[in-house]
Order: sequence, then structure tokens, then C-alpha cells
Amino acid sequence: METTELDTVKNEQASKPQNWRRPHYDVSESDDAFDVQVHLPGVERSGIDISIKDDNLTVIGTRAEFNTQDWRPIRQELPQGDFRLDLRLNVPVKESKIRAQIENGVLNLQFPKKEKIKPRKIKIS
Amino acid sequence: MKLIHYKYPTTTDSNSLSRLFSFGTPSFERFETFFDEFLEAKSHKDQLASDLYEDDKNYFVRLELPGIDKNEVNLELENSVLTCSGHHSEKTENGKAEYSFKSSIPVPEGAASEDVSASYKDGVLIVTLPKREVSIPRQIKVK
Repeated sequence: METTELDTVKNEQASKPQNWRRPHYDVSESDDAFDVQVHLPGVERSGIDISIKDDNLTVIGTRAEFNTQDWRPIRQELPQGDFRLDLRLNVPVKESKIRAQIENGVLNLQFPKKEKIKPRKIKIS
Repeated sequence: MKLIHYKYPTTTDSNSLSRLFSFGTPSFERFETFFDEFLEAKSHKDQLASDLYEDDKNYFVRLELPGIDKNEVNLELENSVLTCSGHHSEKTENGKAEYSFKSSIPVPEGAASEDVSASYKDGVLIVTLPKREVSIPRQIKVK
């Protein structure tokens, strides 16, 4: 087969359009940190990719392939696709001390605040 | 197949457009929920979305229940309706967070009510309903 300029894409996976699902998430704040809870059902620990570039946080959750080879869909209501969440961090956080945990499909991210934005407590002498 | 009044489930965290265009013909109900979702109305979260699959021997119901402990989920099967309910509570820094959910999922009539099993992993619940013997197609040889 002759190769034309159009079929130079060898990797089929890469040429497919990517369908992202924006996951459900909650953000809460305590004195020392911001907590972000991201719902990523069907995503294993190894399928999570968390990155921070400048002040953009990106969480990508790739769903583990479950055994659908022999499964024929009868009714599909759940949205398909992997998860992607982009958030802007508009507060200074200690990037080296970010903690992430996943349990039962919920990712917990903890962003410790930098000292300068913590509320300052003043003792009465 | 029994006629069961069925309300289309909506999840506010799903992509409305992809939901609208990927499942069959959009009915007026669909459009309503589409616009509700568009306006971020959170009024009806009473039904959870679910997927239904089959293979030669089983039906599979797939539900997304992130953050739930498996002991908090109750499953019941009655008259071809699978009811999934539960109550979740957790302690947070700001007190207690809790919610309940209940969802009725119509399943095909050929599902045997015995030997129903369920597994929960990474926030996804998969219920396996074995097909009754009768509903498994049998090959008949012509002699």
C-alpha cells in the first residue's frame, strides 16, 4: 500500500478524539490547607496523573479497562470517557508538600498554604 | 418486558452534550433534563445513572458510587427491578457530611433472583445477575 501524507498516523489510539469527562469535585479550606476532593469512579491508583504547571493543576484519571470484551451493552446511561479536571490555583501553596490519596474512587488532594497567606494569630501579652 | 415508569437519571457532573447525543433519540424529557443540567438545576438527583450489559450467562449492572463504603450499600431485587440504596456519612473537619441515595433500575425479566452477586472496586459497583436457564438460547441440532 502506498503511503500518502494523510495516513502517516501510526498510533491509532493517538489519532482518536479524546472524550473527557469533568469529574465532580469539592474544595474546602482549613487554616493550614486547601482540600480538594475529586470523584473518579473506576480509576485505579495507577491511572491517576496529577500535574502542576505554573498555577494550573491538572488531574487526569484514566479508567481501568473493565471486562467489556464479552459484554454486550443493553443500556448505557453513564457517560463514557476518562476524567480530566483543570483548576487554577490562585493562592500560593507549598507545591512540594502536596499530598494525594485515593480511596474508593475518591481522590483527596491537600494543598498546604504558604505561610504568608495563613491567618496570623496575635497573642495578647 | 414489564412497563415501569422510568425517569431518566441525571447527573450534574456529566457532560450534558455528550449525554444528549450519545444515547438514542432524544425525547422531550431528555431535552428537559438537558436544559436543567445546562442551568445547573440540582433538583433531581434521585436516580443514579447505570449501565446494563449482558454476556451469554449473566446480566451486569454497573453503577458509579464513589466514596461509598461497601457496607453502606443495600441491594434488592424484586419483580425485575433492582433497587440500590444506601446512606453515607463521614466526619469532616467542618462536622459531618451525609447523604442518602436510592435508585430503582429495571433489569431484564430473564434474570434469576438467586445467586445475585455484587462487587465494589474503586467507586464502581458491578452487580452480576445470572440469566435463568430458560433465557439462555439453546442450540438445537437438526437430525
